[in-house]
Amino acid sequence: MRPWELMRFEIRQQVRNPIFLIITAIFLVFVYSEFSIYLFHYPVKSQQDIEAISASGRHDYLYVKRDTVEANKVLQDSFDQLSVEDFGGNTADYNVVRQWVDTKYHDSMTMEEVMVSFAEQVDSPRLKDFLNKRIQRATEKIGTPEQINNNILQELQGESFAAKISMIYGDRTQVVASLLAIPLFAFLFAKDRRYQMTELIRTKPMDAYRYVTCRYMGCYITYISMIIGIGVILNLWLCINLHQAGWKIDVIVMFKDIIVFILPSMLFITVFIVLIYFLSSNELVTVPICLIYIIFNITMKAFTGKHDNDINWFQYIIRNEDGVSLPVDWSMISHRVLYLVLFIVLLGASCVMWQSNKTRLWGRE
Amino acid sequence: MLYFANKSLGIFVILCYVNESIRKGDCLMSITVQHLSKSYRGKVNVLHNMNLVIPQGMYGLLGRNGAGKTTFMRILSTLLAPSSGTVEISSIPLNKRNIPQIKALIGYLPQEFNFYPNLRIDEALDYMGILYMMDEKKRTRRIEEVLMEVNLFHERSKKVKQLSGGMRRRLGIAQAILHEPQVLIVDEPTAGVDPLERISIRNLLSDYSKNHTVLLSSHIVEDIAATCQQIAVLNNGQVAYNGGLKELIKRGKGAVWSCTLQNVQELDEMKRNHTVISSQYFENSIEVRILSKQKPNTSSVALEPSIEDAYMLLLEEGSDRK
Repeated sequence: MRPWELMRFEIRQQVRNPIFLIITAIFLVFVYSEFSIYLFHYPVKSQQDIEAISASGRHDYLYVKRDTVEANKVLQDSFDQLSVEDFGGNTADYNVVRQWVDTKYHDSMTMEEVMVSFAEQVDSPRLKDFLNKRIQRATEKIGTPEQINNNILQELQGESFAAKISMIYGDRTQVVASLLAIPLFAFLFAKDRRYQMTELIRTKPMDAYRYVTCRYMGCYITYISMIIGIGVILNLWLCINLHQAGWKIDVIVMFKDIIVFILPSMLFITVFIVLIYFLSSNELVTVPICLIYIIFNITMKAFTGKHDNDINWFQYIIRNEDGVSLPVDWSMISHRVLYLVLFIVLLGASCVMWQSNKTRLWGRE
Repeated sequence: MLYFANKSLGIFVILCYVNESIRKGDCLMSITVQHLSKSYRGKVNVLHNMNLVIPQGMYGLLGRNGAGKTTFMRILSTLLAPSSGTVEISSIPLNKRNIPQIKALIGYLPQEFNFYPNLRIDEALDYMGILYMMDEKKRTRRIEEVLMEVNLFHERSKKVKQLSGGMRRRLGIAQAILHEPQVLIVDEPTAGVDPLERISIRNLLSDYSKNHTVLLSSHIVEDIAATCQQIAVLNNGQVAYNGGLKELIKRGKGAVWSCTLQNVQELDEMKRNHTVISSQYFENSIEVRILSKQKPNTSSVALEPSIEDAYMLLLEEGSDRK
């Protein structure tokens, strides 16, 4: 009997497993909601694309600078139309600003002069913030499709847009797939007990290491294949769009990010879930413990008050919320290797736990 | 991978050794139990100083609920370690080191079991075959054979959740004999199934016992009587009887009586003094079957003991001794 026969059997089971199918559906919905904007509206071709991007809240590339005359005109207009509603009904604030506009402001002032003049007359940080926003709104405007595309290309600095999306996919997938893995892996071995198969399985000659490893790997391969498959489709789709627009494409980068970020993180967290199940012998206890641990990894700030760094030794997830290209340097490699080593240790511990659950008396002969 | 390769080689060598031994005829398909005791947390004595030799063929293990049958079965099937004493299965001592060898030799059907409900029958057996580490070719052949044997071949595409209790038991037996074990251990296989299924299961086990050792545990006396020539009776964790079925029945001779009572008061009086096995109410009388070493009353008539009578007498003697 070859080891992969049990693995293959588990894969066949998982593909039909309702929990896995629901997780796949949820993951697809997540990917669609997060990435459809990049698939359908990048590179920007029309006003419709701009409106869709604006509506999605991803304003990073939309704005371009106005020329000085236009900016001054817009600022002048905004001051002319100033109303109490702009201050949330606060008449005092309105009067302060109105007075400054009437006495000090004139349309030939540069933006710096406006800020200096305002600061001389007004102390309130709230009102200074109000003015900053007005100035920003006056100096920037939503660009044309060409200008927006130019913004993107400038920020990419020669890299492919696919690389940025790939990094974002890597980041979001580490988070979402970790959370979705909880029910799948917590119930993986729990169903042996639930369906009274424990005694049938434990009286078979297959040893604990082979049994736990093969079943775990079968489940992991199914799960990660789904994640990789969706990622590859996303990447190909985006690359076709970029290629048609004459942009640089990079098909390989997605695989690099999957190998560096997603695979090790998912190996670690899935075996962690399995181990917690073996330790607690209760899937309902496993769920909250793993949930808290994953939330800690997603946003350490919520627990420690410290800002999340890109690479933190206590976090198996390497966060990269903005999709900036992270260098695969020594610290990155050692972080990944650490979690791969931890994966092997936890897998070994899981096998020992499975074996000792019923036959620990044999150790006391 | 190296680890798996080593393990596979190890199991392969063990199976080769077992097969070779059987061919040479120096591997007895028997179970020898000596001074076996099992206690939980050092306090509750579930089995106490058991001595048994279970030869090839069908061997029955009788005992009331809680007598220690399942614990004994679990020890034989390597699920539990004995507290003291020795067990040898086909001349291989049962210890931690030999567990893989023993597992390869035995087939076990627990009292409470099930399969993943979404599996088809043939898939469930395929899964069990993988866990027995059988290669694919042999698995496919044996799955067909055992499905024929347990009369589930035409139902093989049915899902486990669609099976009746009896069919599930037959599937349980199929998985236990899939790898053609030398020793088949079945714990209460007929519990909760209808009479037709019970007969079918009994016949299955009888057929298998022609060339193998089958240890059948039950608290249903009829099942044991219909299939086993050799039996052991467990009572409070001890072997109360070990020997032939006929000898056990003989022991009941002169201790089974029948008499007719007139009313319920007489019956109550009889129950206080003797063990009443059965009572049948008629219009003006009550027919009772009684276990007693002495003649219960003048109108009593001695009867030929059945296996059930002999079993009850044995348990009663055990309780008296206690």
